[in-house]
Amino acid sequence: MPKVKFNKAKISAIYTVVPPICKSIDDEVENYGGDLAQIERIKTTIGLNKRYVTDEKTTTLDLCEKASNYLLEETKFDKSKINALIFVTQTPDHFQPSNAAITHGRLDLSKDCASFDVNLGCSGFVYGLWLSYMMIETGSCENVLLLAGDTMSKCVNPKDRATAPLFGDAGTATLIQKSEIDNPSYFSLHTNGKGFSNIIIPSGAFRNRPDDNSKIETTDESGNTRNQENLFMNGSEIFNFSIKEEPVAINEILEFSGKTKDDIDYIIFHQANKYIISNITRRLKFPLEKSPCGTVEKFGNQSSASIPATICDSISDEIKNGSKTVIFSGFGVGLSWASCLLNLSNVSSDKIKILY
Amino acid sequence: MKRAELLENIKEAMQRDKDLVESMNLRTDVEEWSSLSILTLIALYDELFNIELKSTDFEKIITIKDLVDIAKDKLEG
Repeated sequence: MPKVKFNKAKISAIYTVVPPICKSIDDEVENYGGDLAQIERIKTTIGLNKRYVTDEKTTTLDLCEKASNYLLEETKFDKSKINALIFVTQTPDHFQPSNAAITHGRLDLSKDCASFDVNLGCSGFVYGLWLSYMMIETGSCENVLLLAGDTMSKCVNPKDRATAPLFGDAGTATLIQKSEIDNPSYFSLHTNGKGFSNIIIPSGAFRNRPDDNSKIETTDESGNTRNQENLFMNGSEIFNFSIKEEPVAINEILEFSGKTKDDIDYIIFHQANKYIISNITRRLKFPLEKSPCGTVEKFGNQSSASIPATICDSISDEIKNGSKTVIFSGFGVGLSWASCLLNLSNVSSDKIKILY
Repeated sequence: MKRAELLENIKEAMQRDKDLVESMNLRTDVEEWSSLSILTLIALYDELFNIELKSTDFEKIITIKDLVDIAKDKLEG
């Protein structure tokens, strides 16, 4: 498995935006056959409540462009110095060209800038950091703009209770720069491609072309309706995968870094849902207060954006003027999971901005 | 753990107030039953018994007794 330590890079800024439309599971009683008790059980157990979603016209690219401008305004960073733009998303504007290239143009960045997309979801932010840190470590870049965002609300069928109430949309921008001092950072990355069919949009790309059949809705035995162009998620298998692999991955990165649980100020998991995070945290015997899980209740599962969004939502005040040792860990579609342990010091950041 | 204790744990996992009886059919007699219950029961069995239930296992679990019997080798009495 790829495990690596970098010394020369640091995170300088993290900003998150969400679209203005707020949906709540409370307003979707008809999807639960009017069963208010069931909605309460879902809210208590899974921690689902509100989520912010885009309108028809707004895309992930638009959200990440706004997050980038927000970051550039707040940091006053000279954007001509950006050497690379990485765009992590599974909801791009087009199959071709990449979101990174279009965003590069919209932000008016220098031509001396590498730009590319990374097709990953819930683990994608950590993968993007790994690439950014590696590019700085080799000396090929000094300033990397990492964009991570998704509009999964556009992928789900509103009549599929296994996915529709889960996902919120968001765009994030993170600036990774060369560090003047040694800044040890540790990464480990994993894949289990045999589990690919547990989170999948079966049709719409080139394996199964979109056609009349792929638009036919079917209802499964649990009463959830979707077509082949909608997101399918096998919730219980993903749950099993998460509670089995994540504790191992966290212990692995602790051991690799030579740190102990006591050295860690925060562990920021991908906000799949509150139930998964609390189960993983309990298995790790980590104090629950070190593992923020309130973001998913307020904003939904934001796919690749969820880790930076949780940083902004939960610890932005503490990392602005202080120093925190943190673990980030993302897990999901692929199946793919990735963790890193690093230091956040004097990071320009703020709460999640709602784009009213 | 005794069977009665496991029943209490199952009741709690399903956020049910009323007692469970082993003869109950999960889908027709337990109004709290939903796909959410599968998740909470997977977590419960993993934590209590280190038993990994799959979603497909639940196709064969009809009654509360079926559910309890999965852990019978690890129960007292």
